[in-house]
Amino acid sequence: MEVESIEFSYGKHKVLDNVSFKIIKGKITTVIGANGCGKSTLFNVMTKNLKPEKGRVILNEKNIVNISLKNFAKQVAIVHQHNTAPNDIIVEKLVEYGRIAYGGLKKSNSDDEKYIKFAMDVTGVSKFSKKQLSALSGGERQRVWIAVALAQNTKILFLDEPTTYLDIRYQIEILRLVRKLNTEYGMTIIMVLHDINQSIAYSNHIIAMKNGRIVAEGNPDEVITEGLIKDIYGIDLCVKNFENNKFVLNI
Amino acid sequence: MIMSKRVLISFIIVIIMLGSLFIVSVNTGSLKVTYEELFSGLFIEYNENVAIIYDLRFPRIIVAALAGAALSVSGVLFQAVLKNPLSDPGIIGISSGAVFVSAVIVTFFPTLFFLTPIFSFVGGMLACILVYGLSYKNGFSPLRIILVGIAVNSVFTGFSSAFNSMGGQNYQSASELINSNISMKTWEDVKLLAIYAIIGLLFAFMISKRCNLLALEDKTVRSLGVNVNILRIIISAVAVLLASITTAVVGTISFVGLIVPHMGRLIVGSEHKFLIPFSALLGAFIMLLADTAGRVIAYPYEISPAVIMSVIGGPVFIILLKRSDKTYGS
Repeated sequence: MEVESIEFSYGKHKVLDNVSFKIIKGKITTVIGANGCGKSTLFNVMTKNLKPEKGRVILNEKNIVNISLKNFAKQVAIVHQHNTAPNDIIVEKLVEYGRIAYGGLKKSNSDDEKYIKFAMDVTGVSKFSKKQLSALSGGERQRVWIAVALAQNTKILFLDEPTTYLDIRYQIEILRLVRKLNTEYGMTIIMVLHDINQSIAYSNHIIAMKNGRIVAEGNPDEVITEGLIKDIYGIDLCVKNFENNKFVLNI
Repeated sequence: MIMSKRVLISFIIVIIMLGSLFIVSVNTGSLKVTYEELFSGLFIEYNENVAIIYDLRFPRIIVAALAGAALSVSGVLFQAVLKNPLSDPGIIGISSGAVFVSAVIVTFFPTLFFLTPIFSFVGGMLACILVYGLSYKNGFSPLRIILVGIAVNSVFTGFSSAFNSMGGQNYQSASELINSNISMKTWEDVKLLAIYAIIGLLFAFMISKRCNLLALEDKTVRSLGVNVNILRIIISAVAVLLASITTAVVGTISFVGLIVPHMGRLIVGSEHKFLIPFSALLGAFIMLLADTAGRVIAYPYEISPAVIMSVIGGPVFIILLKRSDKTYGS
C-alpha cells in the first residue's frame, strides 16, 4: 500500500498536507503524533472513510477510491476505535459479519466457516462464541472485534487505537495478539497508537506526524529521540536505553 | 441462526392470541350470531346476519390487523435506520406527509383516485427526506430526529386541516383521506391495503438480516464491505411504503410503530430475522385489540383505534424517552 501526496482539509483548516509514504509489506507500522496532528484523518483516508482532496492511496496498483467497498473489504480489514453492537448479539454471530463481503449473509459455506473458526481461535474468543457480547469484558470485546476483522481473511489489517479504554493487562494482550498476527500469519499491520513506548516495542516502522505532515519515519530505535518527542509533543522527556530497548520516560 | 425455544413459544402464543381475538372480534357488536351459525353461514348456506357480518366486520378486522402489522414493521425499520428507539412513522411525520400529498393530488386530479397509494408513498418519502435532511448533522441524533419529526408532522397536519377547511371537504375523496378512520371499511379497502402491505412486509423480511448491521457503527459496516448509506435508503423506502399505504387506508395512527417493536425486542430480542415477523403479528394483535375495544368501551358509540393508541401510546412514549436518556445521553 502506498500513500501519494495526500491533502485533506476541513473547511480552511488543512489537516493533511502532502503526506506520502509506503506501507512495508509484512511489517507493523505505527502512526504516532499529538492530538489533532492528522493521524485519525490519515487513517480514515487510507480506509476509504474519507476521500482525499489531492493525492491518492494505492493498493495493488489501484487507487482505493476506485475499489468498491466490497472488494476493499476482501483485501483490507479495519478495527475501528469505537464500536457498538446490540446487547444481546452473540459473539459467533458478530464474527460472521466479517464474511459479508463474500456474500456471507446468505447461507454460509465451508470457506466462511473455516475463516470464522480461524478468526475466533487466533483471538481466543472461541470459548465464548455462544455468549452475548455484553457479557464480556472490555479486552474480550476488543478481541471479538479483531476476530470480526480477521474473518475477512485479508493480508492487511488496520487498527485505530486498539488499546484505548483498556487496562494495562488487556492492552498488552491485544498488542501481543497483533504481534502474533504479524509474525505467525504474515499480516501487514498499520495502527494508530497513543502510548509511545508501546509503539516502540511493538512496531517495525514508525511514522511520526505533526500538523498534518510527516516529521520522521523509520525504525523505532533510530527515529525516537528526545528531539523528536520535543518536536511532536512539545514536552521534554528522557529517552533511555534499557537492555537494548529504547524507553521514553513518560512521567 | 436457530430459533431459540423462547422465541418459538412467543411466536406460537402471539399467533394463538391473534386467532382468538379474531374470533371474538367477529362476534363483537350489535349483531350476534352463534359460532355454529357463523361457520355454516360462511361455508355452507346463506344466512343474512352472517352475510352482514361478512361485509361489515370482516373487512374492518382484516384492515385493522394488516394496518397494525404494517405500522409496527415500519416502526422497526425506522428505529433500525435512525438508530433511534423512539422513531414512529406517525410521530415523525411520515403519515401526515402521505395524507397531505395524496389529498391534494386527488382533489385536483380526482380521476387518479385509484393511484392514491402511490401518492401516499410520494408524500411519505417527501416527509422522510425532510426529516432526514433537516436532522442530519454528523449523524442522526435521536432527539433531533424526534424534534424535527414533530415539527414536520405539525406542518403537514396543519396543511391538511387548512386544505380541508378551505374547501377540500367538498371533494369527498380528499376529505376521506384526511379524516379517514377504520370504520366502514369494505373488501375493496382490504384488497388495496393487502396488496401493498404484503409486498412491503415481504421486502421487510427479505432485508431483515441487513437491518441487523445498522446496529453497528457506520464505519464498521463500511469496513465490512457494505455501503451503509444505500442500505439506509433501501430500508427507509420500505418503511415509508408500509407507513404510507396504511395511512392511505386508515388515516394516521401513531404509537403502534413505537410500542410494538419495543415489546417485540423485550420478548424475542434484537435479531431482526425474528423481530420483524414477530412485530408484524404482535402489531396486528394490538391494533385489532384497540379497534375491538374501541367498539365495546362506549357502545353504541365507537372510539377510533387511533385515539386509543394515542391515549396508551403517549405515556409509554414518555417512559421510553426517560429510559433512553440513560443509554443515549441527551
